[in-house]
Amino acid sequence: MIKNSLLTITAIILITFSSAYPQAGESDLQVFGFFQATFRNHKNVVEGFVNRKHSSNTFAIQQMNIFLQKDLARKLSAFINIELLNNYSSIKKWGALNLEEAWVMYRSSTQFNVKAGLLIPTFNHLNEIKNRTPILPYIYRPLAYETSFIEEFPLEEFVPNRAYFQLFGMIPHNELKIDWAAYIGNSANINSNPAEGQTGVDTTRQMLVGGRIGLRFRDLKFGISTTFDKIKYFEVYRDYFGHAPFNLEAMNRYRFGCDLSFKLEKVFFEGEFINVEYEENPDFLELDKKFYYWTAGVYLKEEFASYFTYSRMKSKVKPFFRGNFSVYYLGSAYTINERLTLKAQYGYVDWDDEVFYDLNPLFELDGKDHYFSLACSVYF
Amino acid sequence: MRMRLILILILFFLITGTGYSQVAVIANSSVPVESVNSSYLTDLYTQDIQVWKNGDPVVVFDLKPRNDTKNTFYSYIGKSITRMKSIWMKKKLSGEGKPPESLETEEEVLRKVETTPGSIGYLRSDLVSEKVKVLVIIETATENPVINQNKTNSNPKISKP
Repeated sequence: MIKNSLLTITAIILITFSSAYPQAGESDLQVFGFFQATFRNHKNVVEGFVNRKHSSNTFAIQQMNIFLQKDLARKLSAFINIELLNNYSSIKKWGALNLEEAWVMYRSSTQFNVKAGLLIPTFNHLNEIKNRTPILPYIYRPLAYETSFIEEFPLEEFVPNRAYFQLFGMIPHNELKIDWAAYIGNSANINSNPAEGQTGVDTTRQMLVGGRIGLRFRDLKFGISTTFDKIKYFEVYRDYFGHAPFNLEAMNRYRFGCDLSFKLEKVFFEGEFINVEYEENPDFLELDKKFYYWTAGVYLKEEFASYFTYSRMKSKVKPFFRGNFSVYYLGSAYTINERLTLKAQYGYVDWDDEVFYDLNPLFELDGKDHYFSLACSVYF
Repeated sequence: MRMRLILILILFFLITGTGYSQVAVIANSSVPVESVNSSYLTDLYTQDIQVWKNGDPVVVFDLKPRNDTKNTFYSYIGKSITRMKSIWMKKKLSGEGKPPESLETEEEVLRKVETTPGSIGYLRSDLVSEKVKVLVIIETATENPVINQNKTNSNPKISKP
């Protein structure tokens, strides 16, 4: 504990002084970030195996991100993104603290650039910016991107959250632009067990490969994305059971995605579809997953937008339940200035779960959730 | 009667002349581009293009006060000031760009562009100096931009593209 505190204090001092007194000839270290403070009223009704009605109110710091950015040379820059989720407190064991990004970028030309290090790869429209709350109108994002639900949903099944090397660029042709990105990273076969040595490393020879190709014309954007990796699916759930429940060979996993977004005068639209397929799907389990969402909105004033979102998730296994979620959002965001955005959102979630153990259905649940949320997103 | 006509004409030119101005998009002499259209300019200001064709980084300067010059420029590139701020914030939070330096006066924009390699900015056309390139002249009525064919000119010869 003392060691951690010392490290934290040393880091703060280093950041402060390196920002104030950069070495001669070097660019300043930029330190900036944002947080989103929320108030949520939640009503939950469950029917089926159990019947329950519950309601609650809570304040929370849903998310806070701190960024460090520095130009290392004329075409070289480094970027670090540290993320704290759900009222993070190490003493109280709340939430999560993640090193989300730590990369260096070489900007060769408009057409060709390189990022190396830990990075959020390009996938569909929202993946790279899902955690940048000041630029999103949402309080709770479309389900596959809602990081604060990561303990509830297998979000990384739907979108790749980490890669380690990405080539990307934009090929302009008059007003038409072709965006491209290709990346590699670890497969999902990550060691999370301290007893087996270093954690957070890929324990197999498998790798994640993926990419996106997209077209842009003015405010119209369209793209298709894909990833491929091999996954020892049930190894991932070793933590739940203390052993791998099935000794299956690594299965090919493909993610396919497409995205469309546009802005037309005061109206905006964005939508995505994601399909996750396992090539060697065991007959007795359905591991494939689907997710889609669309948002349609209008800028009532330049600083004030209202929107409606519909999203649907079909998640077959987590690790042993089937869930279908339909989510409806109605919300507004008001940008007071570039530092401060106020948000309001009503969310209605209609879900049904089928809970399994050892392949036998145990029980079924049918639930409805109502969320009314207020938030303030602060950029500093 | 004749005097009255002359007075009316003078008054007319004074009134119309007062509201008439041009905005010049200027660049440092090192910039490897002689003219730009609104689409290319939008790409530069939204930071979709951050590197010139010769490999030099693009340095963009903006005006802080919301004056006629700024409004004319933003109208020409087809983005509102709020929208541009949102685009810059997205770039900054993604680590892939920084908002341009906002300068208090147009004279400051001129001085910065004169001395910063790879830079561009915009200002009233009558402030342009010999040390910068004029890439485009934007009329107040932004439908008719005039591209300057001269590379470096204190008194830009304006000609239709």
